[in-house]
Order: sequence, then structure tokens, then C-alpha cells
Amino acid sequence: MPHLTVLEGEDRFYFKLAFCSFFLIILMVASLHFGAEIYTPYEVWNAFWELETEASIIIQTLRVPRMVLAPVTGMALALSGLLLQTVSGNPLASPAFLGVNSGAAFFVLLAFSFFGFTSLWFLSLIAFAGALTAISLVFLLAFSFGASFQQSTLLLAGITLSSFLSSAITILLATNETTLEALLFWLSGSFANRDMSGLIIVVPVLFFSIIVTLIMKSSLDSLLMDDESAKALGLSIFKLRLFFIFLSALLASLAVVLAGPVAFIGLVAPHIAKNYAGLSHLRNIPFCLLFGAHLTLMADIATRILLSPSEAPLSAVLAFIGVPFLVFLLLSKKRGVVG
Amino acid sequence: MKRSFFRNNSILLGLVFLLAVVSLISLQLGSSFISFERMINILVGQGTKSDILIVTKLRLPRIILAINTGIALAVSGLLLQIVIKNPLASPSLFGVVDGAALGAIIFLVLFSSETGNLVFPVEWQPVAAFLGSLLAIFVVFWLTILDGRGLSRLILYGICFSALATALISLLMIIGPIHRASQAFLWLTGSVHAANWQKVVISSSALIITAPIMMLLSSSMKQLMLDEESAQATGLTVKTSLVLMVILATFLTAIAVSFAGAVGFVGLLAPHIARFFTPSHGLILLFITALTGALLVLGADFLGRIAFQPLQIPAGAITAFIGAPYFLFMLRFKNVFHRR
Amino acid sequence: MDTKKAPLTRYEKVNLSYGSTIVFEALNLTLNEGEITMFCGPNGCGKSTALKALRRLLKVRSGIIFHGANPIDDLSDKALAKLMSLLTQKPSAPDDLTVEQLIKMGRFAHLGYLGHFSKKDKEKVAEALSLCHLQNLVHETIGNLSGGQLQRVWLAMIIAQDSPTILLDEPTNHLDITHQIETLELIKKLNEKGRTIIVVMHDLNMAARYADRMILFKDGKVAADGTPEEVMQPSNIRNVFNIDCEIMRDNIYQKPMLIPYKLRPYNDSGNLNG
Repeated sequence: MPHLTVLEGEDRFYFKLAFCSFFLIILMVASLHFGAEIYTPYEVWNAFWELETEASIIIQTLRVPRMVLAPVTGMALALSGLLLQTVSGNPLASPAFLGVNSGAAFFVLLAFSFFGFTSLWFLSLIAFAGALTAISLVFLLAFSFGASFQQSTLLLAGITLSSFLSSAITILLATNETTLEALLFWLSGSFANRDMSGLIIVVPVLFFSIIVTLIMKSSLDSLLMDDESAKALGLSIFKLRLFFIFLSALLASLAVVLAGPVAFIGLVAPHIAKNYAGLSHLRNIPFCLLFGAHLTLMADIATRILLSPSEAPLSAVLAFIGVPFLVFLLLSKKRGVVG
Repeated sequence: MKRSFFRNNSILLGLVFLLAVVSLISLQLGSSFISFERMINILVGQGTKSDILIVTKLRLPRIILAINTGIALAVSGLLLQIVIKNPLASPSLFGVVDGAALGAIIFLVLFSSETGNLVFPVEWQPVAAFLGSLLAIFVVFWLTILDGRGLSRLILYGICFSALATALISLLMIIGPIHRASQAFLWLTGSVHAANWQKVVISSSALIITAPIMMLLSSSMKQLMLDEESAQATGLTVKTSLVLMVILATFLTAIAVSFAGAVGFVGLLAPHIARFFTPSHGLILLFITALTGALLVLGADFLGRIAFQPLQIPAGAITAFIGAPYFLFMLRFKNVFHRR
Repeated sequence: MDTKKAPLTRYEKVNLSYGSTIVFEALNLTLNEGEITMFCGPNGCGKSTALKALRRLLKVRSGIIFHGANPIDDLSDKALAKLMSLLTQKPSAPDDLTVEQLIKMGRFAHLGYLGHFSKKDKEKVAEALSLCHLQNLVHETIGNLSGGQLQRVWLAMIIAQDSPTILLDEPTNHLDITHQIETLELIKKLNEKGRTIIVVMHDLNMAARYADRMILFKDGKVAADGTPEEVMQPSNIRNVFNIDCEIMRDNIYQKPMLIPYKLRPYNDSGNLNG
């Protein structure tokens, strides 16, 4: 049982919070400056007040949406990952490992290649449905192996479902080259040319989720214990789990709506937050959100610079950050990290 | 005891017979039908040139490669499920498959000239795939040894490697020409359509070399049903047999996917189906698993060839679509697989 | 009775450790053939460790354990399994295994390379089945057994292993009094058939009833060693377990029985006064 650091370091908490928020703002501003074309702060400033210059078009129509979309997506994924890790007691749980991405991608492909849907807005809805379906299936499968979660079973169920869906995706793509061309980029996740209108739904849901999780922080803390002790404390574990799983799936699916399938944020951000701010949810939720936003923004900037002038796939960039982190996490001998 | 002996043997014989029948049918059927008479003619050296070509150059190697692939993947899955002690373990979780895919795709993308032709002959693709899977095995094992918390951690590092390999694959497919990407996707689905005698000889000899080791390991497999301490106490050298089994499993997977691509779900399905047939946990289970795997891939390849003519569906597509209902089946009959 | 006293197992300057915690330093101990020896002592005193080291489930840091004429390190795993069987504290196997299948696993060390069962193997399995009264449960899956039945099945597996020495790690743990007696009577029966038996036991009274020799461990050292009568002394018990007690004799077997009174006070460093 990991210990909870609830009350220690009150001052440093706010200092850290201020520092991380400030860093977020810096990254957001930086995201306006960097890309295929690099602008000076002066040019960026002017671009806001000018019309019809090249810089103003690039910044106002291309970079500003990304500056907003990236952190929102990152926050949603990070919170989703944190909830999953707490609820399943599995430090490796993350939306991507539990089939969210492949579910979304599979549904989008089906809609695109068989029914010819092309509206991005509608595809987003389909993606949402796919993500939710996949993650429910995974949990259903894991539940069916026993009343409580066995850690590796959840993970294996997720990966097996993902691998099934990916082979289905591969088949769909292999048989249809035009679909492949149109969707290959969507499938690797990106913030380029995304619709801001999704934010109308995502931001309120994210806001609501943050409030709810912060209110229910002590329930979340108790879920870190083993089932029987938590039950003995008077929690209805099953309902709580179901609720948080749903919330988490909702957040992850909405992130898919904004950016397509994006992996690793939901895994990495919560871990950094837990190391930085401890296991108490009241403390690590704010940092989890901030780190999620940081990571996504940085990765987004990297996608623009890496293969400039063309864009690198976001999920690939994140994998290059995320995999070494994951390996490091697994290798770390600290008890209770990944037992 | 007598009864189970007969039961096991009749199941084995039945499966062998079924495999022979399916092989024969898939030898006959295809874009052109070859009757029994013509088959016998070929056998005694009297067949027409085109018949001989179709049977010996196209269909026979394809059938044998399908069988070999099935055996290798199924046995690999069985071994891994025993080592990890989890009925959901499968060869695709250990990074080997994605490593092979990475090798194959690097080959396709890097050695394409501007005009889209390959600089090297395509026969070298399996070599690239095999190198890729060796890299995967090496990295995953190295990390597991570094970790030092037992073989069950293999799966975690396998996932890590897969994630990285998949990222690289998607990057390469975006950089490379689009028709290469679709070719790569075909490879990723897994198919035995590009079979030739060279591949048959290599994969068969790999199986023949490993077969005695597998058979010797079968009683250890049974003993590993026990927890590790009890297994050791009954006289099993647990560590050695676990390590041997994992090495064997990854090697078999590497061989299978290098030639046939990522044919999914055989390694997951075959051992489960086999357990349905027999209460054995040793040699008999091993044989039945191998035969089931062979039947799965052969049947899938046959179906993919015949069902949607003239379109050819890759075998991996068919096995994946058998995998989905099976998933639901597992949900339904969870108690069969529930282990304490 | 001279044969009963022949030394069989010898720990010579054995150092044992779990990770960085040292359990035994220079343990010297000789165990005799044909006896029931019980290892007792408080939690963490190293009694299970000593047992596992003898069966080579733990490697010794230094020193040698002899069994018979040879150091155990000279023997192969199968050869060792033919000499000694061990029932671990929490053995486990899949629920869908049948009783017969599980018991047959005990024969592993005797089988050929392909795992074929000879006539002798089958006889030994049948013998173990009848010795443990499991004939009616042969085809039952072990998931359907009660705790007491399951323990008998595991014992049968060990018996089927047919080794002259049997090691048992807390075989009566979690069993009710009926099954405890049943298990210990079975152990006694095996001993009368000539097997050497070494048991880790928590229950001192049960140990005293059935043991030929008791060994009390404390902090990686042998604190008391001898017949139950010699070991079950208030001074030994106070020294090892830190309780005041009274020793009596039961009316039928005339074996020592312990009645615990109360815990002695803790000292300043939070340890029990020894």
C-alpha cells in the first residue's frame, strides 16, 4: 500500500502549481512561433493585428487552433489515464492500451470506406462511439475473468482487442488504397487542420470531469487500497469503478475527436504527476492535467519541426518520448510502481 | 486411463486426417480445378506441363508453408501461455511480430528507388523481417534480464518494443511512397501467397530441428502447471525450462512471421481450441495444438483463396475474423478459462 | 534403534540470506535418518528458509549442505527430487486439473524423457491415492475440493514422488483440528514405513506430540535442540517466544504440553525482552 502524502509541503504545492502553469503559458506562446516557418515574437505580435499577410494567415488560422487544441487534448488524456490507473490498480493502464484508439480508428474506417462519410465532424462522432465501445468491451472482458481486476488480464484484454482491431484496420486499408491515402494521416493522430468546433463539447466535459474528480478525491484515494479494505471503509467500489471508468472512457474518446488516436499521454503524464506531487488525488490531478498539456504541446511543436516542411505523425513522436519513459518506469526498482 | 488414451489417439488421428483432406482439397481447388485423375497423373509423372506447374510450383509450397506457419505460431502461443501463466498471452505480444514487420517495412521503404522499383529482389524481404524479429528478441530479452523480476515481465517489454516499432512503421509509411505503404499493409495482414520451395525448405527444417526439443519439453510443460516452487520440488529445473521455452517460442514466431507476415490470432486460438479437445497438458496437447494451428492457417488460406474469387483475402484477415467471435466466446464461457 | 540415529543431512557453516537480509550465519546442524524432526520458532526465525535451502529452492551463500554422502549441489534436480520431496506452504495448480492429474505430477522425476508412465509409476500413484483416502475423488477437479481434501491431494502428490525423505512446510496451516490430526497421523504413518520427515510447524503442542526431535530457531540460530521433553522447557520457551508458560503432560501420550500465560514486556527499542 503506497502511502499518501496529503498534507505535506503546502507552500511548495502552490509554488509548483504556479510554476507549471507559467510553463504551460510559455509553451503555448512558443507553439505560435515554431513550425515550418519560424517567426520572431515581433512578427507574431503583428500577425494578430494584420490581415491577409502570410504570417497572419498561418498564425491565426493554423497555429492558434493548435495552441488551444493540444493542451485540451493533453489534459483530457492525462486525466483519463490517471483515473484508469487508479481504478484498475494497474500502473500501466492507459486509454491507448485499453483499446480506445484502435476502437475509434476502426469505426472511422468502417464509416469512411463502407458508408462514404467524409464530414470531419461526423467522423469525430463515429470515433467517439468506437472508442467507447472498445473500452467497454475490454473492461467487460477483464471483469469476466473474476470479480476484481487481475492486473495483467486487463492489460492483455486491452492489447488483444487492440491487436484484433488493428488487424481489421490493416485489412481494410490493404484492400483499398484510396482510403489508405486519405486516412493514413488521421490514423496517426495530429492537430493539423483540425476543427475547433469540437471544443464546444470537449471543454465543458473536461471542466465538469475536473470538478467531479476533485470533489470525489477521497473516494479515488481509497480506491488505491485493496478491494476488501476499501469496502470495509464503506465504499461501494463497484459503482465507483464503473463511474470512473465511464468518465475516463468519455474523456479519452473526446480526445480522439479532437486529435485522432494519440497514445502515451494518458500513460506518461499521470506517472510524472504522481512522482512530482504524490499519490493524493487532490494534489496530483492539477499536475496531471498540466503535464498532459505540456507534453502534448511539446510533441505538437516537434511534429512541425521534425520533418519540416512536412508533418511528422504525432503518435510516432509521442512514442519516441513515451517508450523510453515506459521502459524507465518498468525498470525502476521502486516497489509499487509496476509490481 | 485407457479411455483417455483412445480418446486422445482418435482425436489426433482425426485431426491428421482432416489436415490431409483440407490439403488435398486446397491442392485441387483454386483458379483452375484439378481433378483426381490429373493429380494422379502428376504423381506418376504423366501430367500436363501447366498442371505440374500449378500443383508443384504454386499450390503445394503454399499449402506446406501454411501448415508450417500454423504449427510454429500455435506451438509458440502454447509455450508462451504456459510460461506467462496467462491464457491471453500470444506471440504477437512479445514484440517479435512487430519487429519482423519493422524489418520488412524498412526493406520495402528504404530499398525502393524513385520509380518505385525495389533495389534488392523481393526474396530478401524475409531476411529483413527475420533480422527485425531478432532485434526485437534481443532488445526485449535484454530489458527483461536487466529488470531481473522474472520472465512474466517479457510481455511488458514486448509491449514497449511493439509501440516503438509501430511508431516507426507509421513514420516510414508516411515518408515512403503510397503504394509501398499498401504493400506493407498487405504484409502486416499476413499471407502465404508468396510461398516458394525455398521458404518451405527453410521453415520445415526449422521445425524439424526444434521438434525434438519441443517434445522433450512437453513433460516440463505439464509440470509448470504447478507453482514454481512445487515444480522445482518435484524435480523440474524450472528456470532452464522456462528460458528454453521462451527462446523456442520467439524463434518459432520469428520463423513464421518472416515468411508469412503477421498472421494474427493463431497463437492465441490454437492452444485454447486444443485444450477443448483434450484434458492432457503434455505431449498430446502439444501435438493437438500444432495440428489445430496448421488447420487454422491452411483453412484460412484456402477460404481466402476460394471464397471471394477472383479477390484473394490474406490468411491473416481470415484468422483475425475468427478471433473476434472467439473473443466473445471467451466472455461467454469464462469459467472454462478462469484460473485461481 | 541404532539405525534410527544415523545422520542423514548435515548443514555445515551454512550462510543463508533473502536479498540483503541475512537469515542464517554459520548454521551447523545434523538431522538423523528415520526420525520426524520438527522445526519450530517465531515468525521470521528462518525455519522455512532452512527447509527450502535443504531442498535447494534457495541457494546457500556459503557453506555446504550434505544429504547422504553428497553435497546437495552435486546432484541434478531430478536426482535430488528422488531423494527429497517438499510440500511448500502455498502450493498452487490450475483449478481444472483433476486429482489424478495432480498426483501424477509427483512422479515427474521418475519419468523418461517423453513423460511416459511405467507400471511402477502407476502403482506409486495408486498407493498414494489409497494412503490418503482419495480413491473416491480421483476424477474430481481440484477446484471443487474443500481445504482439507486439497491438502490431502497435495500430500498424495508428495507421497507419489516416493522419496526417502519428505519435507513439509507448515502442512497443518489453515486446517481445522480434525484435519490437522489427520495430516499428522498420515505423516507418522509414513515415518513408520521408514521415511525421514522434516516438518516446519507453528503449533508447539502438535509438534511435541508427533516429533522425535524438535529444533527451536531464533534469529538464525538454534536455540534449543532435542527430544520434545528436552526442548519444551519454560526457560527455552521464554527465551525463544518471550512468553511465560507452564509445561504439563497429557494423560495418554505423556508428551509435554504448553500452556501459555503472558507476554513479557517490550524493551526500550521496541523489541521483546529476550
